[in-house]
Amino acid sequence: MPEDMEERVNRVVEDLLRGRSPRIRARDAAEREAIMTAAILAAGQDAHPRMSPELRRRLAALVAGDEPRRVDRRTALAAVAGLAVGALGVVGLDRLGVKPGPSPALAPVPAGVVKAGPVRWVPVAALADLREGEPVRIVAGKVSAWLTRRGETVTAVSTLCSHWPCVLDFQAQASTLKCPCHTGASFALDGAPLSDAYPELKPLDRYAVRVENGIVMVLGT
Amino acid sequence: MEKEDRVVELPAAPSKDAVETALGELDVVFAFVFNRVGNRPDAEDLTQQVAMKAIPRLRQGASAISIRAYLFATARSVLASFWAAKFGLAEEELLEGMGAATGVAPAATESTDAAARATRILAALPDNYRRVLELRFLRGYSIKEVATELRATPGSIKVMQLRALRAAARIPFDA
Repeated sequence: MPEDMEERVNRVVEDLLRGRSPRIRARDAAEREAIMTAAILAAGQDAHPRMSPELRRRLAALVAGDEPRRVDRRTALAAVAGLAVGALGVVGLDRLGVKPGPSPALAPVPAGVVKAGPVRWVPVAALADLREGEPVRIVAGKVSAWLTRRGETVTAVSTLCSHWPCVLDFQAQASTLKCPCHTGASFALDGAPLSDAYPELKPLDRYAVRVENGIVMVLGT
Repeated sequence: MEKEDRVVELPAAPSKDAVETALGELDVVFAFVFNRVGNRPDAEDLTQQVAMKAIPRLRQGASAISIRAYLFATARSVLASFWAAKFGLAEEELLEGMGAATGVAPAATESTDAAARATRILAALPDNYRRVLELRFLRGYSIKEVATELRATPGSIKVMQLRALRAAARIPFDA
C-alpha cells in the first residue's frame, strides 16, 4: 500500500528536526512547497547558524589553494592508472616469490561490482600480510581500493567517497573510512554508509576479490 | 550532478587577508543556505559547492561588496539544483507555480534571523495550524506529544501538520 502523503511529509519533518539531510523521493515533488517550508521552519531552531570549525578549516584550505585531496573521478582514475602495480599496489609479494604482472586470462565480472572496461585479476597482497580489520590501500590498474581482511575473506571498496569524489581516510580508532570533504560522512570497512547525518549516502563501490594460494587478487585493469 | 570536470585557471595563492575576507563572506552564505535547507549536512555541502564555484574570485581578494552579489547568485543556483535533484525535477519545473515562500527565488531584502522568520510565518497562520507547527518546530514536540497536548490522534495531527505546512508555504519568506 502506498504511504500516505502526510506520512511522507512527516518523515521529512522528522529528519529535519533531527538535524539530518531529509530523505525525499521523486513522488514527494507534489508537496515540494510544504517540504521546503518545513526546511525553513526547521532552520528556526538555530537562530544564528554558524559554520562548524571543521567546515571553516576546510573552506580556508580550499580558498588558500591547499586542497590536494579533492579530485574528480576521472582525474583520480587517470592518476592511479599511471602508477606501477608494484609501487603501491603490492604488499609483500616479493617475499613469496610472486611477480606482479598481468594475469593471463580476462576474468568474467561478478555481479554487483564495478566494471571498469577490460579487466583482469591483479595480485595485490599476500593474505598473510593483511591484518584482521586493518585496511590497506591498493591500486590495481585504474582501480584504487581499501582492502580489508575478515578471517579468510577479503573485501575491496573504492577509496573514493560515494558522494563527492574525495579520497577516504582510514580512522583506526573508530575502524571506519571517513570522508575529508564532509563533516560526519563515514563508511564501514565493507563500504556500508554509517552517517546518520546523510541518510541518503550510497554504499562505496565494491571490487571483486579472489584469494588463491595465499595471494589476494583484485579485479582491476 | 556532483561531477565537475571543468578546468579552472587558478590565480596565485591568495593573501591571508583575502582568505579571511572570503571566509567572512562564506559565513554569510552558510547562514543563507542553512535558513533554506534547515539542516547542517546539506548546508555544509552546499556552502562548499558555492565556495568551489567562486574560488577564482575569492582568491583575488575582491572587496566584500563586489563578491557578495556573485556569491548569492551562485548560492541561489546551487540551492535550486539541490531541491530539483531531491525532487527529481528540472529546475524550471521546480519553481513553476511556486510563490516566493521558499526563498529560492530572489528576494529584495532578507532577515538573517531564522527564528524570527519562523515566528513571523507561524503568526500569520490560523490558530490550529499555528499551534501544531509551533509545537513541532519551535518546541520540538513529537507527533505523539502534540497529539496529547491537543487532544487529538497522531494520525489527525500528521494530516494537520501537512495542511499547515501547505498554508505556511503561501506566506512570503521575508515580509
